[in-house]
Amino acid sequence: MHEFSIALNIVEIAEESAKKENCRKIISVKLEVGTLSGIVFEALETALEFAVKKTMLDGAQIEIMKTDAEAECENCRRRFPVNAHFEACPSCNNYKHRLLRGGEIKVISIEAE
Amino acid sequence: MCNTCGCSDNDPVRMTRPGKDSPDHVNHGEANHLHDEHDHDHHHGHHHEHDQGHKHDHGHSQSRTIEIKEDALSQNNLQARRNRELLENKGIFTLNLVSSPGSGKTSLLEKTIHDLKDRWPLFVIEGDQQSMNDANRIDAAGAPVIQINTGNGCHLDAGMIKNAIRQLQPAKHSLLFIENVGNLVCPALFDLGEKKRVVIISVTEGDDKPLKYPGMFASSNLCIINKTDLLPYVDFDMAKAREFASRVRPDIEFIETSVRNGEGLERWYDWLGKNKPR
Repeated sequence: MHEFSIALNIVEIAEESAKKENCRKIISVKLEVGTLSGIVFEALETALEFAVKKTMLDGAQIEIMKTDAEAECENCRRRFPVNAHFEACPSCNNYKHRLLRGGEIKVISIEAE
Repeated sequence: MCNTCGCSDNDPVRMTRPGKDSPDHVNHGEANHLHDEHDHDHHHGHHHEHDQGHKHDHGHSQSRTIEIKEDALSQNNLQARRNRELLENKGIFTLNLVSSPGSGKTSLLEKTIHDLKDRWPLFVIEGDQQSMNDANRIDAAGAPVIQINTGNGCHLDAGMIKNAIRQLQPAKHSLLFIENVGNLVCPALFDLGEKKRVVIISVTEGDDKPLKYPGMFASSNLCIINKTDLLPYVDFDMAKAREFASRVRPDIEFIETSVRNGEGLERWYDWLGKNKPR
């Protein structure tokens, strides 16, 4: 459900940026969403379908680039792909790690005219 | 439509204080929202990264690429930072209490107010989709409270907290408890400007809750495991629950409590005293 508020934020960010560049129509939007961002991809896609209606993004092509999460072990500094917050380091079995990427929900760019 | 909470005009966010006649309706006019973070005039002084955006002209049409690279939660995060600054400047210790519905958040708060109201000034912001039930309970327990009804919204956000603080006016050097909407998923992403996040689970829930809803445990500082008086009647493995939560967040602290028989409450009060700014 929080995907809907996030979809509305995305629409607002995209519209603000287009208006600043004196554009009236947004043709496409590029998003970057991490696998550990707390977002359900399908839910975000559905939410965006509704959120873009009657906005500058109505009919725009929406591209969601998935970023696979990667963490760095705080003990041995090994970098490893991480599928969940509770995964241990494959080298030293330590649970304390820092997320390097995969937590983001970002509007990367728009194509507008 | 409210851009932050997702509510519709038919089911808007409402703020109500017990004993007041009508709810302080947060007016969601299309043109000028009261939530700062979606003020469409953008007078909030923050600098969007896209100000430095590059333009690439494409020969085949008038369309161009505008680089943005902005976090979808940037406006909430900005408002949360402002809330935090405002609250910390007044020496207010703010806690965001998150849990699934029915973990005993409100009962714990009632008991806390009963036991601590002579020690520190306490204020409460209550978040629920509907009803004044929790605010009325807190009011009866003796703490000033404001109820936020999110309508269809599944979480509180920093803009709602900003408005609630403005109306509630928590005193300097007080404790401000924010009881979030009962939901272990959505509130995890929304910083409200709190100093500490406290996740509450109860022994009637599964001991694998931390693994099922890791986002919430990963963002919490303290885990309260409540209703310990029921341990003899349920298959809840305390050691496992703690181990799972520690996997998700190795530095998370734990307090086991029973509001019913008082177990662990002194430890909770000590934790508040220890973490409260002097």
